[in-house]
Amino acid sequence: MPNLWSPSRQAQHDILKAFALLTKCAIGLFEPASDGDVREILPLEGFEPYCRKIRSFSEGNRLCHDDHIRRAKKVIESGIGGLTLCYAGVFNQALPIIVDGKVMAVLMYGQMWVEGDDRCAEARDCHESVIARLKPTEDDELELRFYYDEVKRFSRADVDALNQQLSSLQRWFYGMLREEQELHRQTENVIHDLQMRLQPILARAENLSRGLRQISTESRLVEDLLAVADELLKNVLAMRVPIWNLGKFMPEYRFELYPLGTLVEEAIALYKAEAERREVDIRTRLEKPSRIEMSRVHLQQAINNLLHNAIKYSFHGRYDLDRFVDILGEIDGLDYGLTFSNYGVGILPEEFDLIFQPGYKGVLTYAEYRSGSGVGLAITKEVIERHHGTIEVESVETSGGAYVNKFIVRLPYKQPREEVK
Amino acid sequence: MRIAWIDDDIEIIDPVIQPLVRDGHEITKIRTIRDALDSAEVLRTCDLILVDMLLPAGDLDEDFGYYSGVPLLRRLREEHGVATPVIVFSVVDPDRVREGLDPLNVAGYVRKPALPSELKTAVDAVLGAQSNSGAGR
Repeated sequence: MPNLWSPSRQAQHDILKAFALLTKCAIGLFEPASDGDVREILPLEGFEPYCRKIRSFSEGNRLCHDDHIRRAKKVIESGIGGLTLCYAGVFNQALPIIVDGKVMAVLMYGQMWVEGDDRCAEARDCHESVIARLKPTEDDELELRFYYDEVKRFSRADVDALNQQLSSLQRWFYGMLREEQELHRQTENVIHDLQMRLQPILARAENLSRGLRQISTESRLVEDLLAVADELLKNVLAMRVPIWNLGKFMPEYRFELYPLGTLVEEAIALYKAEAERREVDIRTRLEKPSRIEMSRVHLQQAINNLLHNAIKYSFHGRYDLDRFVDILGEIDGLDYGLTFSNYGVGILPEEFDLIFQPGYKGVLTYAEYRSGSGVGLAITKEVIERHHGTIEVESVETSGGAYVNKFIVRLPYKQPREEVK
Repeated sequence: MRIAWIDDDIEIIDPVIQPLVRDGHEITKIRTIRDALDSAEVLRTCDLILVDMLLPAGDLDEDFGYYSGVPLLRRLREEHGVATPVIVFSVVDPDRVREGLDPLNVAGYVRKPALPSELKTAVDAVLGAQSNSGAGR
Protein backbone atom coordinates (compact mmCIF):
# COMPACT_ATOMS: atom_id res chain seq x y z
CA MET A 1 0.00 0.00 0.00
CA PRO A 2 1.51 3.44 -0.89
CA ASN A 3 2.44 5.83 1.92
CA LEU A 4 0.16 8.84 1.62
CA TRP A 5 0.70 12.20 3.30
CA SER A 6 -2.26 14.30 4.37
CA PRO A 7 -2.35 17.97 3.31
CA SER A 8 -1.65 18.98 6.93
CA ARG A 9 1.43 16.82 7.09
CA GLN A 10 2.62 18.21 3.76
CA ALA A 11 2.12 21.77 5.09
CA GLN A 12 4.19 20.96 8.17
CA HIS A 13 6.91 19.50 5.96
CA ASP A 14 6.94 22.62 3.74
CA ILE A 15 7.11 25.00 6.72
CA LEU A 16 10.09 23.15 8.16
CA LYS A 17 11.84 23.11 4.80
CA ALA A 18 11.29 26.87 4.51
CA PHE A 19 12.80 27.31 7.96
CA ALA A 20 15.83 25.27 6.90
CA LEU A 21 16.33 27.35 3.76
CA LEU A 22 16.03 30.67 5.59
CA THR A 23 18.28 29.81 8.52
CA LYS A 24 20.61 27.46 6.66
CA CYS A 25 20.02 25.04 9.55
CA ALA A 26 19.28 21.43 8.80
CA ILE A 27 16.08 20.39 10.50
CA GLY A 28 14.66 17.00 11.40
CA LEU A 29 11.35 15.86 12.92
CA PHE A 30 10.89 12.68 14.93
CA GLU A 31 7.70 11.27 16.45
CA PRO A 32 7.06 8.49 18.93
CA ALA A 33 5.88 5.32 17.17
CA SER A 34 3.11 3.10 18.59
CA ASP A 35 5.60 0.27 19.33
CA GLY A 36 7.81 2.49 21.50
CA ASP A 37 10.33 3.20 18.76
CA VAL A 38 10.98 6.51 17.01
CA ARG A 39 9.64 7.44 13.60
CA GLU A 40 11.60 9.80 11.35
CA ILE A 41 9.06 12.14 9.78
CA LEU A 42 11.75 14.39 8.39
CA PRO A 43 15.32 13.06 8.63
CA LEU A 44 18.00 15.46 9.84
CA GLU A 45 20.06 15.36 6.70
CA GLY A 46 23.42 16.83 5.95
CA PHE A 47 22.99 20.53 5.16
CA GLU A 48 26.16 22.09 6.43
CA PRO A 49 29.10 21.22 4.08
CA TYR A 50 31.00 19.75 7.03
CA CYS A 51 28.11 17.40 7.86
CA ARG A 52 27.60 16.48 4.21
CA LYS A 53 31.26 15.55 4.02
CA ILE A 54 31.00 13.41 7.19
CA ARG A 55 27.97 11.65 5.72
CA SER A 56 29.79 10.92 2.48
CA PHE A 57 31.55 8.22 4.54
CA SER A 58 29.22 5.25 5.04
CA GLU A 59 30.26 4.93 8.68
CA GLY A 60 29.76 8.64 9.15
CA ASN A 61 26.26 8.38 7.68
CA ARG A 62 25.38 5.51 10.00
CA LEU A 63 26.78 7.24 13.07
CA CYS A 64 24.84 10.44 12.30
CA HIS A 65 21.57 8.56 11.80
CA ASP A 66 21.96 6.47 14.98
CA ASP A 67 22.96 9.55 16.96
CA HIS A 68 19.80 11.43 15.91
CA ILE A 69 17.47 8.51 16.62
CA ARG A 70 19.04 7.89 20.01
CA ARG A 71 18.77 11.54 20.97
CA ALA A 72 15.18 11.79 19.76
CA LYS A 73 14.25 8.73 21.80
CA LYS A 74 15.85 10.18 24.91
CA VAL A 75 14.00 13.47 24.52
CA ILE A 76 10.67 11.69 23.93
CA GLU A 77 11.17 9.64 27.10
CA SER A 78 12.31 12.50 29.30
CA GLY A 79 10.39 15.39 27.73
CA ILE A 80 13.55 17.47 28.13
CA GLY A 81 15.46 18.89 25.17
CA GLY A 82 18.54 21.05 24.92
CA LEU A 83 21.60 22.02 22.96
CA THR A 84 23.90 19.06 22.54
CA LEU A 85 27.19 18.35 20.92
CA CYS A 86 27.20 15.61 18.30
CA TYR A 87 29.95 13.04 17.99
CA ALA A 88 31.46 15.02 15.06
CA GLY A 89 31.79 18.28 17.02
CA VAL A 90 28.82 20.39 15.87
CA PHE A 91 25.91 21.63 17.97
CA ASN A 92 22.29 20.52 17.49
CA GLN A 93 19.23 21.74 19.34
CA ALA A 94 16.57 19.18 20.35
CA LEU A 95 13.11 20.66 21.05
CA PRO A 96 10.33 18.49 22.48
CA ILE A 97 6.91 19.58 21.20
CA ILE A 98 4.52 19.06 24.10
CA VAL A 99 0.72 19.33 23.72
CA ASP A 100 -1.55 18.67 26.73
CA GLY A 101 1.37 17.22 28.65
CA LYS A 102 2.25 14.70 25.95
CA VAL A 103 5.44 14.73 23.84
CA MET A 104 4.05 14.72 20.29
CA ALA A 105 7.37 15.10 18.50
CA VAL A 106 10.99 16.15 18.74
CA LEU A 107 12.31 18.83 16.45
CA MET A 108 16.06 18.77 15.90
CA TYR A 109 17.91 21.46 14.06
CA GLY A 110 21.40 22.83 13.88
CA GLN A 111 24.62 21.62 12.42
CA MET A 112 25.99 24.86 13.89
CA TRP A 113 28.68 26.34 16.08
CA VAL A 114 27.40 28.22 19.13
CA GLU A 115 29.69 31.10 20.14
CA GLY A 116 30.76 31.22 23.75
CA ASP A 117 29.39 27.79 24.65
CA ASP A 118 31.33 26.03 27.43
CA ARG A 119 31.76 23.00 25.25
CA CYS A 120 33.67 24.66 22.39
CA ALA A 121 36.95 23.02 23.39
CA GLU A 122 35.20 19.67 23.72
CA ALA A 123 33.67 20.24 20.26
CA ARG A 124 37.12 20.51 18.71
CA ASP A 125 38.16 17.32 20.45
CA CYS A 126 35.14 15.55 18.92
CA HIS A 127 36.14 16.85 15.50
CA GLU A 128 39.67 15.42 15.92
CA SER A 129 38.22 12.09 17.10
CA VAL A 130 35.95 11.70 14.13
CA ILE A 131 38.80 12.36 11.74
CA ALA A 132 40.82 9.65 13.45
CA ARG A 133 37.88 7.28 13.29
CA LEU A 134 36.90 7.80 9.64
CA LYS A 135 40.53 7.58 8.41
CA PRO A 136 40.02 9.96 5.46
CA THR A 137 42.46 10.46 2.63
CA GLU A 138 44.75 13.48 2.89
CA ASP A 139 42.50 15.51 0.61
CA ASP A 140 39.39 14.50 2.47
CA GLU A 141 41.02 15.39 5.78
CA LEU A 142 41.90 18.85 4.46
CA GLU A 143 38.32 19.33 3.32
CA LEU A 144 36.93 18.19 6.66
CA ARG A 145 39.15 20.61 8.59
CA PHE A 146 38.33 23.48 6.22
CA TYR A 147 34.58 22.86 6.38
CA TYR A 148 34.66 22.54 10.15
CA ASP A 149 36.16 26.00 10.52
CA GLU A 150 33.43 27.30 8.21
CA VAL A 151 30.47 25.83 10.16
CA LYS A 152 27.93 28.62 10.54
CA ARG A 153 28.04 30.51 13.79
CA PHE A 154 25.11 31.32 16.07
CA SER A 155 25.00 33.08 19.40
CA ARG A 156 23.13 31.60 22.35
CA ALA A 157 20.57 34.38 22.02
CA ASP A 158 20.00 33.42 18.36
CA VAL A 159 19.33 29.83 19.38
CA ASP A 160 16.94 30.83 22.16
CA ALA A 161 14.97 33.04 19.76
CA LEU A 162 14.73 30.26 17.19
CA ASN A 163 13.60 27.80 19.86
CA GLN A 164 10.78 30.07 20.93
CA GLN A 165 9.44 30.57 17.42
CA LEU A 166 9.74 26.93 16.43
CA SER A 167 8.12 25.63 19.63
CA SER A 168 5.17 27.94 19.22
CA LEU A 169 4.70 27.00 15.58
CA GLN A 170 4.93 23.29 16.16
CA ARG A 171 2.66 23.32 19.21
CA TRP A 172 0.07 25.04 17.05
CA PHE A 173 0.52 22.42 14.34
CA TYR A 174 0.17 19.43 16.66
CA GLY A 175 -2.78 20.99 18.43
CA MET A 176 -4.42 21.36 15.04
CA LEU A 177 -3.49 17.79 14.10
CA ARG A 178 -5.20 16.49 17.25
CA GLU A 179 -8.35 18.48 16.50
CA GLU A 180 -8.30 17.15 12.97
CA GLN A 181 -7.97 13.59 14.24
CA GLU A 182 -10.80 14.14 16.70
CA LEU A 183 -12.99 15.51 13.92
CA HIS A 184 -12.16 12.51 11.77
CA ARG A 185 -13.13 10.21 14.61
CA GLN A 186 -16.41 12.01 15.17
CA THR A 187 -17.13 11.73 11.47
CA GLU A 188 -16.26 8.07 11.52
CA ASN A 189 -18.60 7.55 14.46
CA VAL A 190 -21.41 9.19 12.49
CA ILE A 191 -20.66 7.07 9.46
CA HIS A 192 -20.43 3.99 11.65
CA ASP A 193 -23.88 4.62 13.10
CA LEU A 194 -25.31 5.40 9.69
CA GLN A 195 -23.92 2.28 8.10
CA MET A 196 -25.22 0.21 10.98
CA ARG A 197 -28.72 1.39 10.15
CA LEU A 198 -28.38 1.30 6.41
CA GLN A 199 -26.29 -1.84 6.01
CA PRO A 200 -29.13 -4.25 6.87
CA ILE A 201 -31.53 -2.26 4.66
CA LEU A 202 -29.12 -2.35 1.72
CA ALA A 203 -28.38 -6.01 2.32
CA ARG A 204 -32.04 -7.03 2.65
CA ALA A 205 -32.92 -4.93 -0.40
CA GLU A 206 -30.35 -6.65 -2.58
CA ASN A 207 -31.14 -10.09 -1.18
CA LEU A 208 -34.84 -9.43 -1.79
CA SER A 209 -34.41 -8.05 -5.29
CA ARG A 210 -32.34 -11.07 -6.30
CA GLY A 211 -35.15 -13.34 -5.07
CA LEU A 212 -37.83 -11.65 -7.17
CA ARG A 213 -38.69 -13.36 -10.40
CA GLN A 214 -40.51 -10.53 -12.13
CA ILE A 215 -40.16 -6.79 -12.20
CA SER A 216 -42.86 -5.61 -9.83
CA THR A 217 -43.77 -2.60 -7.77
CA GLU A 218 -41.89 -4.04 -4.82
CA SER A 219 -38.77 -4.47 -6.93
CA ARG A 220 -38.91 -0.85 -8.10
CA LEU A 221 -39.35 0.33 -4.52
CA VAL A 222 -36.31 -1.69 -3.53
CA GLU A 223 -34.26 -0.15 -6.32
CA ASP A 224 -35.42 3.36 -5.34
CA LEU A 225 -34.49 2.71 -1.73
CA LEU A 226 -31.05 1.46 -2.75
CA ALA A 227 -30.49 4.55 -4.88
CA VAL A 228 -31.48 6.96 -2.08
CA ALA A 229 -29.40 5.16 0.53
CA ASP A 230 -26.42 4.97 -1.80
CA GLU A 231 -26.63 8.70 -2.61
CA LEU A 232 -26.87 9.64 1.06
CA LEU A 233 -23.93 7.51 2.01
CA LYS A 234 -21.78 8.74 -0.86
CA ASN A 235 -22.36 12.33 0.25
CA VAL A 236 -21.52 11.61 3.86
CA LEU A 237 -18.51 9.49 3.02
CA ALA A 238 -17.23 12.20 0.69
CA MET A 239 -17.78 14.67 3.58
CA ARG A 240 -19.92 16.83 1.30
CA VAL A 241 -22.66 16.85 3.93
CA PRO A 242 -21.72 18.68 7.11
CA ILE A 243 -22.18 16.24 9.93
CA TRP A 244 -24.82 18.33 11.61
CA ASN A 245 -26.85 18.88 8.47
CA LEU A 246 -28.02 15.34 7.89
CA GLY A 247 -31.57 16.53 8.62
CA LYS A 248 -31.91 17.86 5.08
CA PHE A 249 -32.11 14.27 3.89
CA MET A 250 -35.09 13.55 6.15
CA PRO A 251 -38.57 13.86 4.63
CA GLU A 252 -40.98 16.72 5.40
CA TYR A 253 -42.89 16.66 8.68
CA ARG A 254 -46.40 15.24 8.13
CA PHE A 255 -48.65 15.04 11.16
CA GLU A 256 -51.24 12.31 11.64
CA LEU A 257 -52.91 10.49 14.51
CA TYR A 258 -50.92 7.38 15.43
CA PRO A 259 -50.31 5.28 18.55
CA LEU A 260 -47.02 6.07 20.29
CA GLY A 261 -47.08 2.54 21.68
CA THR A 262 -46.64 1.15 18.16
CA LEU A 263 -43.51 3.24 17.64
CA VAL A 264 -42.15 1.86 20.90
CA GLU A 265 -42.89 -1.70 19.76
CA GLU A 266 -41.15 -1.05 16.41
CA ALA A 267 -38.08 0.27 18.22
CA ILE A 268 -37.99 -2.76 20.51
CA ALA A 269 -38.21 -5.09 17.50
CA LEU A 270 -35.34 -3.25 15.80
CA TYR A 271 -33.00 -3.50 18.78
CA LYS A 272 -34.19 -6.80 20.21
CA ALA A 273 -31.16 -8.73 18.96
CA GLU A 274 -28.70 -6.20 20.34
CA ALA A 275 -30.51 -6.13 23.68
CA GLU A 276 -30.31 -9.92 23.88
CA ARG A 277 -26.64 -9.88 23.01
CA ARG A 278 -25.98 -7.33 25.74
CA GLU A 279 -28.30 -9.26 28.11
CA VAL A 280 -30.43 -6.19 28.70
CA ASP A 281 -34.06 -6.72 29.67
CA ILE A 282 -36.51 -4.34 28.01
CA ARG A 283 -39.66 -3.82 30.12
CA THR A 284 -42.61 -1.69 29.04
CA ARG A 285 -45.70 -0.33 30.74
CA LEU A 286 -47.68 1.93 28.45
CA GLU A 287 -50.98 3.51 29.46
CA LYS A 288 -53.64 3.78 26.82
CA PRO A 289 -54.69 5.64 24.81
CA SER A 290 -51.29 6.55 23.39
CA ARG A 291 -52.62 7.81 20.06
CA ILE A 292 -51.18 11.27 19.48
CA GLU A 293 -50.70 13.60 16.54
CA MET A 294 -47.22 12.99 15.24
CA SER A 295 -44.92 12.97 12.23
CA ARG A 296 -44.41 9.24 12.33
CA VAL A 297 -41.07 8.81 10.56
CA HIS A 298 -39.41 11.54 12.65
CA LEU A 299 -40.78 10.44 16.00
CA GLN A 300 -39.86 6.84 15.21
CA GLN A 301 -36.25 7.98 14.73
CA ALA A 302 -36.33 9.84 18.04
CA ILE A 303 -37.71 6.84 19.94
CA ASN A 304 -35.21 4.53 18.20
CA ASN A 305 -32.38 6.82 19.38
CA LEU A 306 -33.61 6.90 22.97
CA LEU A 307 -34.04 3.13 23.17
CA HIS A 308 -30.77 2.38 21.41
CA ASN A 309 -28.87 4.72 23.76
CA ALA A 310 -30.52 3.12 26.77
CA ILE A 311 -29.44 -0.33 25.58
CA LYS A 312 -25.97 0.76 24.48
CA TYR A 313 -25.17 2.52 27.73
CA SER A 314 -26.43 -0.27 29.93
CA PHE A 315 -23.76 -2.24 31.67
CA HIS A 316 -22.96 -5.69 30.41
CA GLY A 317 -20.06 -8.08 30.50
CA ARG A 318 -18.13 -7.72 33.71
CA TYR A 319 -20.96 -6.32 35.81
CA ASP A 320 -23.01 -8.92 37.64
CA LEU A 321 -25.98 -6.63 38.03
CA ASP A 322 -29.48 -6.45 36.64
CA ARG A 323 -29.34 -4.84 33.27
CA PHE A 324 -32.62 -3.31 32.20
CA VAL A 325 -34.35 -0.66 30.18
CA ASP A 326 -37.77 0.42 31.43
CA ILE A 327 -40.14 2.26 29.10
CA LEU A 328 -43.01 3.87 30.96
CA GLY A 329 -45.89 5.61 29.17
CA GLU A 330 -48.30 7.74 31.22
CA ILE A 331 -51.20 10.02 30.43
CA ASP A 332 -50.45 13.47 31.89
CA GLY A 333 -53.37 15.78 31.23
CA LEU A 334 -53.16 17.01 27.65
CA ASP A 335 -49.76 15.37 27.20
CA TYR A 336 -48.42 11.85 26.98
CA GLY A 337 -45.29 11.20 29.02
CA LEU A 338 -42.77 8.61 27.85
CA THR A 339 -39.83 7.80 30.13
CA PHE A 340 -36.82 5.67 29.17
CA SER A 341 -34.90 4.45 32.22
CA ASN A 342 -31.76 2.38 32.26
CA TYR A 343 -29.08 1.24 34.66
CA GLY A 344 -25.55 1.86 33.46
CA VAL A 345 -23.20 4.58 32.25
CA GLY A 346 -24.21 7.86 33.84
CA ILE A 347 -24.45 11.50 32.84
CA LEU A 348 -22.89 14.18 35.04
CA PRO A 349 -25.21 17.01 36.18
CA GLU A 350 -23.17 19.63 34.34
CA GLU A 351 -23.80 17.72 31.12
CA PHE A 352 -27.61 17.60 31.31
CA ASP A 353 -27.93 20.37 28.70
CA LEU A 354 -24.68 19.60 26.86
CA ILE A 355 -25.66 16.08 25.83
CA PHE A 356 -28.32 17.46 23.49
CA GLN A 357 -25.72 19.42 21.54
CA PRO A 358 -24.51 17.92 18.24
CA GLY A 359 -21.24 16.05 18.59
CA TYR A 360 -21.17 16.04 22.39
CA LYS A 361 -20.39 12.71 24.01
CA GLY A 362 -20.76 12.22 27.75
CA VAL A 363 -17.60 12.32 29.85
CA LEU A 364 -18.36 8.99 31.50
CA THR A 365 -18.78 7.21 28.14
CA TYR A 366 -15.04 7.43 27.59
CA ALA A 367 -14.42 5.13 30.54
CA GLU A 368 -16.30 2.38 28.71
CA TYR A 369 -15.96 1.43 25.08
CA ARG A 370 -19.11 2.79 23.42
CA SER A 371 -19.53 3.72 19.78
CA GLY A 372 -21.72 6.70 19.06
CA SER A 373 -21.82 9.68 16.77
CA GLY A 374 -22.92 12.31 19.29
CA VAL A 375 -25.74 13.44 16.96
CA GLY A 376 -28.53 11.07 18.11
CA LEU A 377 -29.74 13.13 21.08
CA ALA A 378 -29.43 16.39 19.16
CA ILE A 379 -31.72 15.00 16.47
CA THR A 380 -34.07 13.54 19.11
CA LYS A 381 -34.43 16.87 20.88
CA GLU A 382 -35.04 18.66 17.60
CA VAL A 383 -37.80 16.19 16.68
CA ILE A 384 -39.48 16.42 20.08
CA GLU A 385 -39.41 20.20 20.09
CA ARG A 386 -40.81 20.18 16.58
CA HIS A 387 -43.69 18.21 18.07
CA HIS A 388 -44.07 20.99 20.66
CA GLY A 389 -42.87 18.55 23.32
CA THR A 390 -40.09 18.55 25.92
CA ILE A 391 -37.27 16.22 26.87
CA GLU A 392 -35.38 16.17 30.17
CA VAL A 393 -32.72 13.94 31.64
CA GLU A 394 -32.09 12.66 35.16
CA SER A 395 -29.05 10.64 36.21
CA VAL A 396 -28.55 9.47 39.78
CA GLU A 397 -25.45 7.63 40.93
CA THR A 398 -25.98 4.44 42.90
CA SER A 399 -23.49 2.05 44.42
CA GLY A 400 -20.58 0.66 42.41
CA GLY A 401 -20.37 3.57 39.99
CA ALA A 402 -23.58 2.72 38.15
CA TYR A 403 -26.24 5.29 37.45
CA VAL A 404 -29.99 5.13 37.03
CA ASN A 405 -30.72 7.34 34.04
CA LYS A 406 -34.06 8.67 32.86
CA PHE A 407 -34.94 10.43 29.65
CA ILE A 408 -38.40 11.97 30.20
CA VAL A 409 -40.29 12.97 27.08
CA ARG A 410 -43.60 14.87 27.10
CA LEU A 411 -45.61 15.10 23.90
CA PRO A 412 -48.95 16.85 23.45
CA TYR A 413 -51.84 14.73 22.24
CA LYS A 414 -52.76 17.43 19.78
CA GLN A 415 -50.57 19.68 17.69
CA PRO A 416 -51.39 23.34 16.91
CA ARG A 417 -53.85 23.45 14.01
CA GLU A 418 -51.35 24.97 11.58
CA GLU A 419 -49.13 21.83 11.85
CA VAL A 420 -51.84 19.34 10.95
CA LYS A 421 -52.97 19.26 7.33
CA MET B 1 -15.33 -23.16 3.53
CA ARG B 2 -15.08 -21.87 7.07
CA ILE B 3 -15.15 -18.13 7.55
CA ALA B 4 -14.63 -16.35 10.87
CA TRP B 5 -16.35 -12.98 11.17
CA ILE B 6 -15.07 -10.66 13.90
CA ASP B 7 -17.48 -7.74 14.37
CA ASP B 8 -19.56 -6.44 17.29
CA ASP B 9 -22.47 -5.40 15.03
CA ILE B 10 -23.06 -8.86 13.59
CA GLU B 11 -26.68 -9.18 14.65
CA ILE B 12 -27.61 -5.89 13.07
CA ILE B 13 -25.77 -6.25 9.77
CA ASP B 14 -26.14 -10.00 9.46
CA PRO B 15 -28.06 -9.86 6.13
CA VAL B 16 -24.87 -8.84 4.35
CA ILE B 17 -23.45 -12.36 4.66
CA GLN B 18 -26.57 -14.18 3.44
CA PRO B 19 -25.11 -14.92 -0.02
CA LEU B 20 -22.10 -16.50 1.68
CA VAL B 21 -24.36 -18.65 3.82
CA ARG B 22 -26.36 -19.60 0.72
CA ASP B 23 -23.10 -20.65 -0.96
CA GLY B 24 -22.61 -23.12 1.86
CA HIS B 25 -19.88 -21.34 3.83
CA GLU B 26 -19.85 -21.96 7.56
CA ILE B 27 -19.67 -18.65 9.42
CA THR B 28 -18.20 -18.42 12.92
CA LYS B 29 -19.20 -15.18 14.62
CA ILE B 30 -16.90 -13.45 17.12
CA ARG B 31 -17.84 -10.17 18.76
CA THR B 32 -14.99 -8.87 20.91
CA ILE B 33 -11.21 -8.75 20.99
CA ARG B 34 -11.22 -10.99 24.04
CA ASP B 35 -13.32 -13.60 22.23
CA ALA B 36 -11.07 -13.39 19.15
CA LEU B 37 -7.93 -13.99 21.17
CA ASP B 38 -9.59 -16.87 23.01
CA SER B 39 -10.56 -18.34 19.63
CA ALA B 40 -7.07 -18.23 18.10
CA GLU B 41 -7.11 -21.99 17.54
CA VAL B 42 -10.35 -21.71 15.58
CA LEU B 43 -9.01 -18.74 13.61
CA ARG B 44 -5.88 -20.67 12.69
CA THR B 45 -7.99 -23.42 11.12
CA CYS B 46 -10.47 -21.21 9.26
CA ASP B 47 -10.19 -20.52 5.55
CA LEU B 48 -10.79 -16.79 5.84
CA ILE B 49 -11.21 -14.10 8.51
CA LEU B 50 -13.43 -11.05 8.09
CA VAL B 51 -12.51 -8.41 10.66
CA ASP B 52 -13.78 -4.96 11.60
CA MET B 53 -11.37 -2.20 12.68
CA LEU B 54 -13.59 -0.90 15.49
CA LEU B 55 -13.98 -3.61 18.09
CA PRO B 56 -14.76 -3.61 21.80
CA ALA B 57 -12.14 -5.13 24.06
CA GLY B 58 -14.64 -7.30 25.90
CA ASP B 59 -13.50 -8.17 29.38
CA LEU B 60 -9.87 -7.25 28.79
CA ASP B 61 -8.32 -4.43 30.80
CA GLU B 62 -5.96 -3.34 28.01
CA ASP B 63 -6.35 -0.27 25.85
CA PHE B 64 -6.28 -1.33 22.20
CA GLY B 65 -6.68 2.19 20.87
CA TYR B 66 -9.37 3.51 18.56
CA TYR B 67 -8.67 1.27 15.55
CA SER B 68 -8.53 -1.77 17.76
CA GLY B 69 -8.70 -4.23 14.86
CA VAL B 70 -5.10 -3.42 13.93
CA PRO B 71 -3.45 -4.47 17.23
CA LEU B 72 -5.78 -7.47 17.39
CA LEU B 73 -4.65 -8.64 13.96
CA ARG B 74 -1.02 -7.99 14.86
CA ARG B 75 -1.32 -10.06 17.99
CA LEU B 76 -3.10 -12.90 16.19
CA ARG B 77 -0.39 -12.99 13.53
CA GLU B 78 2.67 -12.51 15.74
CA GLU B 79 1.76 -14.13 19.04
CA HIS B 80 -0.80 -16.76 18.05
CA GLY B 81 0.57 -17.81 14.67
CA VAL B 82 -2.68 -17.14 12.80
CA ALA B 83 -1.71 -17.10 9.13
CA THR B 84 -5.29 -17.29 7.78
CA PRO B 85 -6.08 -14.85 4.95
CA VAL B 86 -7.85 -11.73 6.20
CA ILE B 87 -10.32 -9.36 4.58
CA VAL B 88 -10.91 -6.16 6.54
CA PHE B 89 -14.65 -5.37 6.50
CA SER B 90 -15.05 -2.00 8.13
CA VAL B 91 -16.49 1.49 7.85
CA VAL B 92 -13.04 2.96 8.52
CA ASP B 93 -11.29 4.77 5.68
CA PRO B 94 -8.44 2.44 4.66
CA ASP B 95 -5.99 5.37 4.62
CA ARG B 96 -6.46 5.69 8.38
CA VAL B 97 -5.24 2.16 9.07
CA ARG B 98 -2.96 1.59 6.08
CA GLU B 99 0.27 2.03 7.99
CA GLY B 100 -0.74 -0.41 10.71
CA LEU B 101 -2.13 -3.02 8.31
CA ASP B 102 0.73 -2.97 5.79
CA PRO B 103 2.94 -5.53 7.55
CA LEU B 104 0.01 -7.81 8.43
CA ASN B 105 -0.61 -9.42 5.05
CA VAL B 106 -4.21 -8.35 4.56
CA ALA B 107 -5.74 -9.91 1.45
CA GLY B 108 -8.51 -7.39 0.87
CA TYR B 109 -10.44 -4.39 2.22
CA VAL B 110 -14.19 -3.99 1.81
CA ARG B 111 -15.59 -0.77 3.08
CA LYS B 112 -18.97 -0.73 4.82
CA PRO B 113 -21.71 -0.32 3.93
CA ALA B 114 -21.36 -2.88 1.20
CA LEU B 115 -23.86 -4.78 -0.85
CA PRO B 116 -23.87 -8.49 -0.10
CA SER B 117 -22.70 -9.10 -3.66
CA GLU B 118 -19.65 -6.85 -3.12
CA LEU B 119 -18.63 -8.76 -0.02
CA LYS B 120 -19.22 -12.09 -1.76
CA THR B 121 -17.04 -10.99 -4.71
CA ALA B 122 -14.18 -10.09 -2.38
CA VAL B 123 -14.52 -13.33 -0.42
CA ASP B 124 -14.70 -15.45 -3.59
CA ALA B 125 -11.60 -13.72 -4.95
CA VAL B 126 -9.55 -14.48 -1.86
CA LEU B 127 -10.82 -18.04 -1.40
CA GLY B 128 -10.40 -18.69 -5.11
CA ALA B 129 -6.83 -17.41 -5.07
CA GLN B 130 -6.15 -19.55 -2.04
CA SER B 131 -7.49 -22.68 -3.75
CA ASN B 132 -5.50 -21.99 -6.90
CA SER B 133 -2.30 -21.55 -5.02
CA GLY B 134 -2.98 -24.69 -3.04
CA ALA B 135 -2.16 -22.72 0.10
CA GLY B 136 -2.75 -24.74 3.22
CA ARG B 137 -3.15 -23.73 6.78
